Amino acid sequence: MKLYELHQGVLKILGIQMGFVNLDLIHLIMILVGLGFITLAIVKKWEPLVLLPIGAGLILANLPLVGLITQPAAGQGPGEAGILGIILKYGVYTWNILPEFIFLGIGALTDFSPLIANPKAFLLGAAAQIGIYTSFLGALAVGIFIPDWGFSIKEACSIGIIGGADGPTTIYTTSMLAPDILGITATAAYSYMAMVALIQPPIIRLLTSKAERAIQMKPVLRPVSRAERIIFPILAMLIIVLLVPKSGPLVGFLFLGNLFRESGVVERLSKTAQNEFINIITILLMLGVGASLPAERVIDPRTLLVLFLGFAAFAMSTAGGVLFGKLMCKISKEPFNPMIGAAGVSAVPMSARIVHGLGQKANKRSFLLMHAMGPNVAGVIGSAVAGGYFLGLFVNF
Amino acid sequence: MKPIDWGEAWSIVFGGIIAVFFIMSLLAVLVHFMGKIFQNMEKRKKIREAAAAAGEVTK
Repeated sequence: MKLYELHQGVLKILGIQMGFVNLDLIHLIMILVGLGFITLAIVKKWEPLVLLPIGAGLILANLPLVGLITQPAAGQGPGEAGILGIILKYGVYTWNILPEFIFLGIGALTDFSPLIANPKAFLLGAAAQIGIYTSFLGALAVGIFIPDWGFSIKEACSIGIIGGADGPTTIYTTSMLAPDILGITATAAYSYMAMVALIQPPIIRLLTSKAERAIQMKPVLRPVSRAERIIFPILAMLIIVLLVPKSGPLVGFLFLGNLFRESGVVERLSKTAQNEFINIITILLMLGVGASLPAERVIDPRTLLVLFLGFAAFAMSTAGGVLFGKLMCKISKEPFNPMIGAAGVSAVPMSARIVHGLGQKANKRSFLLMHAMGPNVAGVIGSAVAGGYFLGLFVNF
Repeated sequence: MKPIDWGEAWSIVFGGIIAVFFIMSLLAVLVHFMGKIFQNMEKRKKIREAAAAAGEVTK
């Protein structure tokens, strides 16, 4: 073979197979977005356990010719499916098992004592789901003004659920109702959870006076017995699943994990669920979320609308919690700080920490963390109920 | 795309809000009473223990 022919062959291979040649602007933008996520995780330490693997998944999914997001299909040859495609297909789209597994770990990590000690917090957890429904209506209203960009009712449910500020519930609901927008709703949910420190304080300040923010609540909540902590997950699971059966997979696993923790007889299972198990599932799910955002899906102009509506849902949920907190402040016999309503969104425990921080700024002697943890964990239950309610309307399984 | 049935949409919204508030209120009430029962049991246990301790002192 002449050197010239060899040279032509090499160029041909480079032209077909080399990533640089096939990298277009939109993929490059998505890779930069992924790098942005990784930067936020490392530099700002915003939800690094979530944003770092999402960013990595996003980059891997948008590198040309890698084939990592090729999902398994009948008739494929060996090795044709990519690993991220396999995670997505079996973990999320077809079997949808990863969100429930995350809930198992969350249950094992969650102490429901602040909620059991102060059951009024359940109502704040309910009020902070209001953004789900306002954004649901907002998503449907898009079709009135821009018919081509309109969302179906199922898509509107998936967009609204971002307002629950609960990543696994968003993924679980969207993968069944509107899998095409899964990547963007999941990314929005996790991104807004990461940005809770930026989103919530201005809304809380807008809706409360300084005097309200300075209200000092009882210094301690009552102690909760071990028996109560064991009975609570069983009781709550039975009530919720019997009333909203489609929330069963999420709620069931949440309370199963919590029973591991509180029973005190399966310490190994509890520790595994709290550590190795949830860590492994987090890696898989977050890589999957990032991988569900290939550029081809994101260039849809409706993506920006989903991001905006998701933000509105999160903001409205915060506002709903604070306004309900103000109502409880008015009718409560004991001092009640309305800010703890904002913690009703289920971004655990960041929301509660933010409320505590704002309380400390207004009154150095105010300790709101334990009071805010009640609505915070109630929010996890509330958003799972809201997701289960949406699924009950459209899904039969 | 199919036109939106706003009647259905509003019924989803009201149904959802009612479902969430109903379940959370029910849980709040049940947990409240569960707390009362266990607090009373704890109180009685303490009284019994105090009485037993007082009895031992009398002996």
